[in-house]
Amino acid sequence: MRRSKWTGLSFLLPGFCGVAVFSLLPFMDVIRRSFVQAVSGRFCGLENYRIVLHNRAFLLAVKNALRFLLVCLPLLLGISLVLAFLLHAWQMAFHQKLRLLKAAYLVPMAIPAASLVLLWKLMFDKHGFVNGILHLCGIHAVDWMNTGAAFFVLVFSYIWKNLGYTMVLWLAGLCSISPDLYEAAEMDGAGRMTQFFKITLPLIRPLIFTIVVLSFLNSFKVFREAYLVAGNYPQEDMYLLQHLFNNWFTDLSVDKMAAGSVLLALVITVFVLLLQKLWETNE
Amino acid sequence: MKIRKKISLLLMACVTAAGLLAGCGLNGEDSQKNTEGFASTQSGKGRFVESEITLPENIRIVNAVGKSKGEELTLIGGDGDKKLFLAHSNDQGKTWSQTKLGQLDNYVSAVNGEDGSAVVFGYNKKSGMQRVAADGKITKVNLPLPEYKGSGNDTENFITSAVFAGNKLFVTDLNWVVYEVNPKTGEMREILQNISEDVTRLLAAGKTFGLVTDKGIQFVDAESGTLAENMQNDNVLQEAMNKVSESHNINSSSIAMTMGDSEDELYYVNHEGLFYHKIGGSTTEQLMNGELTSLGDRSIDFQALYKYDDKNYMVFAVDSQETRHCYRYTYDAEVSAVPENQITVYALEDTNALQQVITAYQKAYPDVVVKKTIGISGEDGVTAEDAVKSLNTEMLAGKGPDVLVLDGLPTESYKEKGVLADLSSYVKAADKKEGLFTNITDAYAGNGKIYQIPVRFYCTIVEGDQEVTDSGINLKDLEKYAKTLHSGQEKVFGNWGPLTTLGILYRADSASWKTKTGVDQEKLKQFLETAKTLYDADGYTEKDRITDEIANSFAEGSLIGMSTAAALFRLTGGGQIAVGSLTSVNDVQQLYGIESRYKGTFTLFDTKEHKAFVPFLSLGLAQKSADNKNAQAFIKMAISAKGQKQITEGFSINRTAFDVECKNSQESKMGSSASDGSYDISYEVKKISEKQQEKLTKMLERLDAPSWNDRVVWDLVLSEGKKYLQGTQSLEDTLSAIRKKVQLYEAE
Repeated sequence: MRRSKWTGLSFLLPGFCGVAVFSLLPFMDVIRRSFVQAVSGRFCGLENYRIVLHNRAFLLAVKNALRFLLVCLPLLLGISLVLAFLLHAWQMAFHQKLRLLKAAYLVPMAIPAASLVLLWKLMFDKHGFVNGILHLCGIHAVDWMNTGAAFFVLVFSYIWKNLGYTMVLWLAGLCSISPDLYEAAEMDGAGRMTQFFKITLPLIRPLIFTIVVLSFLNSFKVFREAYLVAGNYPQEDMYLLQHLFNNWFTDLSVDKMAAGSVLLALVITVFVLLLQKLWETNE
Repeated sequence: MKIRKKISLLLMACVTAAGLLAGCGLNGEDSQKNTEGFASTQSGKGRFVESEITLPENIRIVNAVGKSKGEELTLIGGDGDKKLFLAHSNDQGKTWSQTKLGQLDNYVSAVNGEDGSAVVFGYNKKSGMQRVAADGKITKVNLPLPEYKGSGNDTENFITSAVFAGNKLFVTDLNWVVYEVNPKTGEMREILQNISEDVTRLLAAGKTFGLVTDKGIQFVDAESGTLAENMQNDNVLQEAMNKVSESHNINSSSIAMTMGDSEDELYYVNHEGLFYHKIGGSTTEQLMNGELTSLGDRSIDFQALYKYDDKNYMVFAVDSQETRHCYRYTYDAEVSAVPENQITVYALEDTNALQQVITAYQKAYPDVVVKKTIGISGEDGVTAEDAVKSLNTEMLAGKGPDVLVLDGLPTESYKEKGVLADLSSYVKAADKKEGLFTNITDAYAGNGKIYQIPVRFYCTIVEGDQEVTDSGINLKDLEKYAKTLHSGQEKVFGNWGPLTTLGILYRADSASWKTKTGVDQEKLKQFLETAKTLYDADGYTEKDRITDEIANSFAEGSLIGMSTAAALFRLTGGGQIAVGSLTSVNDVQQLYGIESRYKGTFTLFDTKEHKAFVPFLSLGLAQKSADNKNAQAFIKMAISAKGQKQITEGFSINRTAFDVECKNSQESKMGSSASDGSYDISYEVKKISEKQQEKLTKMLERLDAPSWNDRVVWDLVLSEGKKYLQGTQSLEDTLSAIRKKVQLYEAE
């Protein structure tokens, strides 16, 4: 028993060392910096937190981040699940493997952000491809990058990039459900919807937690595209927390940045823990 | 036990990996150009020490120089007023004897060090060649120079470069052909027919000479008149020459060379320092670090290098103000190889002005080495934002620079966070000693403290007919006046690009835009409307406009020379309103020259609330270095007349230096003509008169606020304003976009 405990530890240790050196220790320093002034290092209590919580730019970035999450997460999870379900059904009906298709879904994740940005610029420019199509349809052109529509460009970017990946995750879950269960349910007279709600959903529930957490964390990566398309100061609705942190660092406002980061880390931790608790309660 | 061992091994592996990764992180420093390389490779005692040799009386311009084996120096030069002199020295330049040659048609000269004679070539074919014997006797020699073979029938061929090598005279002409010339008969023999490159300059180097071509440097054996194979096949030498060609504009005389005692020893000097190479050897040795001497000044051109012995070298050079220098470098075995003290100066972008201050400081403090760190070296893809982040990281780690050039840096934030030290005591002391433009320094004062000092500054003027300057000198008046000109036949403002148009007006007007929460909408609206009116006035299409590159650089003190350019542009029919930055005493001379020859006058741009200036080379002292005497001395040197002696960009904040610049202002003739004959202008640039200096001083004393010198705001206004000027965005949308973004920036 003792022997297996040590073996496990030896496997964990390298990874833990890496996390400790590159994440935990630096984060400890971030926490320390959130209580001191940027350059002098003088202790200032909760002053940095007070400043950050009253900072209009921070509040705007938080508002945008929440709005983005509330719109994107349900959209991504819903669309990807429906598509994955349809694909799975097609696979079951025609007994075809989807290996090539699965690989294709991951292509958006493999495209470098810099290349993607060029595409976005071509598509969403005032005289770009999207407005060209709208014009053909008789719809007035939209200034995608300089109006509130910029937010939806961001949403589109996120969904497009993560849809395939999330679908593959859903498909993995769906494929793990035994076809016998569906056959038995059919024999008992259960319809498609009943099968979905009574068999599929309960059985993929453990996967939902992972997918939600991954999608949530991936949502912060949308900053790359936003930054490369519109720079440090994009249209207001595209202004994200990373824009703010980036600009604070350029401005040497490391104290504010540290306080903001600690607050963000707290929110993420609380969100993940709550999600975990919710799942455990349901199970 | 075994398991413990394994864990120990794993831990060691982790630590090693972390160490390696940390090592990788340090490579980031490579992206910043630093000048410490030589210093870090040397240790112990012994270094070349610089001293300056006084040039012969009367001679302000050295045309050519030569040295004999018997160590006699010969130079041919002028007094700046057409008179030429031939001078000789037998004591390494300490004393000179000279012969007045009178007025000669002189464009290119060469000195034969061996016999102390010289040759002088004129600016056209008819001038031929004048042979000047060592005693000053002049003989005119007919030169059978071929016709110019390039396009343009009217262009006359002339000699563009000449050198004596191994007692023989070699020249090159407008056709880029190299000839050996008999100095007595003028007979010309074409050599190196197979050279495919364009030969632009010849470099003397003992019995060989260098051909500076558009592709690099090649070496020719003077004896045979063919390429010196031993040097041509020397890969190490060729690599070193390529490096020089790549790092400098080789045509601007950024190198001089000489051969050593034996024929296989080559010495050359450039801004990096003095180098030695044994032909065929495997390495090039750096004998002296240029950064520690006047050689490091990027604005100087080299004329000649001579070696007396292993411990004594002489370099002839011309600085940015056309002043000739003769530097002597003597090896001193007693001084430390590398100055023991070091200060670090950080700038986002390198400028000649900064290097000139550093050079002045190095001369005054030879025991202190200045490590210059440049954020955007131009050799990599580092952006201004990346560079600022790297600087911030260094400062947070306690490894920040001692002195900061604040142009383009987040100065306000640095002030608030206590990065910068108070400089008010230095300002007071300098003002008391030499006098400063305190209206400029006062613009930075707050609560009795000053955290930044611009070493130089410039301002915006409106130039044009009396009617233009009388019509008003702010944006509203300019817009109104431009509209009245619409119906006329002449051009109004010209075909400046959108960024240039916005940049010029931004510098002039932005001082009064800033409010507590962002930007004053009314003033911004007026700015955009005026810019649009001027931009659209002449109906140019985008492709007919002048490139915008000039407005792109922020930290470098962009729009240099624009007022003269704008005035000339006006004279050539480009536009009736000329607005631009008045950037130097020379700019003022040119404007007065234009004023006296043609109709025109200039006046300071006045927003009614402010008369704005643009700071250039703004210095700040790091708080952590506030007790560092060397860093303090650097600031003091920078704002002193001595420190600004060589700087030509902007107006000096130091009144003594400003007076000297006005007094030393040089006369010249300027002219410009169109190939189609549509314009032909010429005017005389005269010394600034006392009256003019007084007027200029009064104008500069009226300046009271810096333009909104913030890179973020500048970028936002120019990028959004460009869309408006080009018609892809409405005025309302532009105003709204700028307002929101600036508010966000201020809120951060």
